[in-house]
Amino acid sequence: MTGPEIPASRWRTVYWITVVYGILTIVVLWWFTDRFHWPGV
Amino acid sequence: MHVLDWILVAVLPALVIWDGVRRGSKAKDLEGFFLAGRSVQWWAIGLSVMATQASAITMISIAGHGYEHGMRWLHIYLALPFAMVILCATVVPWFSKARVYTAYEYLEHRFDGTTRTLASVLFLVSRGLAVGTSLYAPSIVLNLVLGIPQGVAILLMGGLSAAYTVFGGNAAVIFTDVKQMLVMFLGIGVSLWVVVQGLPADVGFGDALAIAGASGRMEAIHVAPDMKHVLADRYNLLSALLGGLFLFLGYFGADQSQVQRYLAGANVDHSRASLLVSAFLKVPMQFAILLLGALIFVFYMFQPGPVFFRADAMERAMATAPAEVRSQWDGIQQRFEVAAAGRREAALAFVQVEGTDREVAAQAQLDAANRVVAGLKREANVLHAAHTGAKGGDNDFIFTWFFLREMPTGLLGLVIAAIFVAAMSSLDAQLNSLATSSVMDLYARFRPGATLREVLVLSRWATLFWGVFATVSAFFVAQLGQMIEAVNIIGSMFYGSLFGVFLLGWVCPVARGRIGWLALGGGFLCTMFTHFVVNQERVVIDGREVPVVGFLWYNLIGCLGVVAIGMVLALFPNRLRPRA
Repeated sequence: MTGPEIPASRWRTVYWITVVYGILTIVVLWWFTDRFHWPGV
Repeated sequence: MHVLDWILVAVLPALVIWDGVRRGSKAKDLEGFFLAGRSVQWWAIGLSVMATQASAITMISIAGHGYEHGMRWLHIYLALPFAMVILCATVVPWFSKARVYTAYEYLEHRFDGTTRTLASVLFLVSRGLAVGTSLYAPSIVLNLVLGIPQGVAILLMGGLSAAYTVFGGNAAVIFTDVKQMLVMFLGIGVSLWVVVQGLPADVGFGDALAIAGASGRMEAIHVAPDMKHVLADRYNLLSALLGGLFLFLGYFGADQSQVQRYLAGANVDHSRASLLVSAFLKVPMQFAILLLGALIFVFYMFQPGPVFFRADAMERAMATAPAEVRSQWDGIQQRFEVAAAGRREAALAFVQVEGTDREVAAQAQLDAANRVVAGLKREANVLHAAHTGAKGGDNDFIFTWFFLREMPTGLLGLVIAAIFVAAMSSLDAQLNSLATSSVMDLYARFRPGATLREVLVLSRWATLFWGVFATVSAFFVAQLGQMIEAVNIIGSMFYGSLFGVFLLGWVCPVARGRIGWLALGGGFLCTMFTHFVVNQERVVIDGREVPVVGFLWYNLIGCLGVVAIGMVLALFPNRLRPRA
């Protein structure tokens, strides 16, 4: 019913995609802060 | 409230509960009741994992936080994708291979029975302390919408959640959570749409973001300037990436309320993939809720709003207050009307000159106007606290005030239903996991001869017990102050140590036997020492007096404490390790 398990190499690819996504999220939020936030407020 | 809203409020939660009980009623054995027969698909578990974490507090309290403090709360979630990857590669396959019912059962295989018992007790205490908050937040809404006492609202919500969890077990929890999460996504989207539509015609979405930014509500990333700030400032990039990482490693890797969700996966791949749903969706969801709060702040610059969002309670308190107190309140309101008008002018002026060389002066004027309004709000808060004894300000009332007055017919019912189901989706998972750990880690371990039927019946009674416990404790939650922070501070005191003992098992193969519980207890004491002794000292950050160590660091301290103590103890193998 559940099918064969996904190979470890494919999971490693998924993990790297998730890590890159996490880093990109921080980069985008940094840009967002830089664009709209006024320091010292 | 319109009849259509009433229908939505009644029918949506009822449908969700009915379907959950229908799916869960097939559970005839322990694996069926606790783990939904280990047969659930990744997307359903993934949404259930999100729903378990996203209670009604998420919508009410975080939107209020966004209004008051802007986007900085988002720091908490920045490390979540990285934590999920670590968990997918480590603890998920361990649990899956060991075929355990609880995370702490694994510790008995790895260390000894005492380590399992201690970890389970720490979980029961931490989760038990936080469980009441899941009921308290929606009781505010029920109280404001229906006018019924908060106590009755708490009993209603607690009773419903406990009932379907008792009958349906984990399958009911997961499949109610799926629909509850979808209703919640819809509620967040609708609220954002309504707040943007409510802005004046000459203030667009980009202008609203600019005004929120000029008012200090758009700081999603904060880099602390020095070590003092890194440690004491609650939300900064470094504390988020290190402290937050261990918060989520502990929460998703060692908190039974989450572990039990993905233990229900059809195989290890489904369990892994379910965690990655949160890795990808959690930050955007929290961003949307905080943005909603920040936009409500801008909304009330242009629309009439109160100086203090517990204005209803304030009016009731003032009805019986001495004349001089009433005149104080009237004075605050009058000054607020003038200040709010000035702020509106300053915001419009800022929009007109934004992007030109005059924007710095306009921002300074807007900032000054904001400070006047914030000062009046503080005065109102002090007056309110002095005359009602209520704590915690008005953060948790801001979103409620907004949607009760601004949502059109139909959408109001949808948002209220979203808050109810969010409350239930968080509570059901907690009841289910508290019952599982109580029965499997404590009762069944000490009564190995107990029959399957006996354990199953006891599991349902345990669920009911924790339902009653949650309901009773909800009555005391109001004393905690702003709920969302209180819940995370309590969690941070436990999660680091709990995850630390799993990490110790991984990094130190020679640490076995009683080293497990000695290290776990020692790491937990490190966190307690930080909270109750070190944090008696205060430092001033941005004009506010705060403890020297921010709560996110508790997770790292607890985890590293356990690992360090465990590794030191492992140097004395003859005394502490089990004999071969």
